[in-house]
Amino acid sequence: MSSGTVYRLADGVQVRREKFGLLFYDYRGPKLYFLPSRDLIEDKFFDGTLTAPQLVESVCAEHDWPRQEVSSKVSQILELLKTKGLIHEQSVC
Amino acid sequence: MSNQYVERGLSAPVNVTWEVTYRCNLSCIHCLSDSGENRNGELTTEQCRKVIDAMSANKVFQFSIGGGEPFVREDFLDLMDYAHEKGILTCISTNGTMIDDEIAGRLNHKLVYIQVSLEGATSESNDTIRGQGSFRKALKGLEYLKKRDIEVSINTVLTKLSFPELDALAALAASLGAKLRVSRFRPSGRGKKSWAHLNVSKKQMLAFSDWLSEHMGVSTGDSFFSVTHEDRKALGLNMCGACKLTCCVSPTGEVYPCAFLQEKEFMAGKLPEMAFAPIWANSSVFESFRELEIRSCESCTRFELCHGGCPAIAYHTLKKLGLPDPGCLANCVTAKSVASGIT
Amino acid sequence: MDREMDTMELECQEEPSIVEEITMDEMAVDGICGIY
Repeated sequence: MSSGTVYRLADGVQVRREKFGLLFYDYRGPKLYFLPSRDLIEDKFFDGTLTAPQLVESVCAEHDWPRQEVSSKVSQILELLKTKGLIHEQSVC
Repeated sequence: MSNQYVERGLSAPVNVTWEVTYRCNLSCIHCLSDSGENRNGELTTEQCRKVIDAMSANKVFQFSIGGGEPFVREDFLDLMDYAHEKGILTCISTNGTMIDDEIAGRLNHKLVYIQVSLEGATSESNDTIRGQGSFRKALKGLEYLKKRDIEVSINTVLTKLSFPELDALAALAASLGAKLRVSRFRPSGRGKKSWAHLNVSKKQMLAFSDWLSEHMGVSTGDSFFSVTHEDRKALGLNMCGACKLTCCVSPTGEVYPCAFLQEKEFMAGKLPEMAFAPIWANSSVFESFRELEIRSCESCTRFELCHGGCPAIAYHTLKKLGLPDPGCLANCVTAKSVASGIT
Repeated sequence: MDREMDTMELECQEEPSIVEEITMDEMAVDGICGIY
């Protein structure tokens, strides 16, 4: 995971937090995506304010979870969301 | 296909059907909300903004906006802009007759989707339902939208009049660069009076189901899951989304399970004076709707495709909730025998 | 319902725990029965 990259929602995609994790609405389908990520990622993460490493740090600090495992899960989630076309990467200048 | 996350309950609807006015410049004989004249108590501009605020606070993704005719409201375009400021997508259902170049310009926005209603591919069929001159005016509106390359869908309610013109409607939509959506006729509003002579026969419904399978690009607004063939299963919902994925707000702010159940017994609350979140989460109307099970359908081979169909049609025709959709494709003996037991 | 892998348990837990498997369910919708 790069410290120079943030993540934003693709055009036509919205997200909100639910008890199970994140609910994505892709109007290009239209399609709903249910991601049971629980407390791993806040919907605000896709505002592009945090990089993935910063997210991992903040999650580990809040929940006292093993950093390597959190990092691995966050990576998998971001890869999955990118594959589905729901998010895209943006370089931080 | 039921979805575990939906069944466990979402924090808010995904979309909200919002009928912004009862007023309309037409008098369609099948109007689901009996629109036309002004009625007392319609929400003011400020109250509408509060409704938008409430939906934004609850992170509702989309408004499906209708009425009446939304553009009859003088403040409608400003309200639409306000919803966009909050990041809410607006799918606007309109008769298209009031759309001119200026309005089309305001609609040219990435959060706007337009649906123009036509009930036939010709003025003869369309105007029988929508009134003289409405076809010509709607086509003019569609031209203004096409000129600006605005994504448009033409919506047709499946009736005895539109059924023979489905191919022609598909061709008309294609010629205008528009999608075609065919939605289900329901006996609510003025539809109650026109139901008997406009609703399609069982034979026509079966033929329509086959037609849908041959026209995978035609959408149905999730209103035909009761007749969906297996091959269209992946295109949309296979169950009623009322109180699980959607609900309806009336022009006077009342909250209902859906646009077709705007009856006193189904009123769950009133906006903007009540907070929306407790209505969604805790109203007894919504709770009982979520627990609704069409038990007589559970043994049917089609149950996973439709979960008993549209409760609103069952309610209006059979006078009770929890009964099978009378438009069911299987038209099974169970449904018939249950229905015939109602006096 | 499309699934990438097996579904994970979603029972409410008192203490949040890190997710075990990454899956995502999808549901096609089309208007979710809005209006005509």
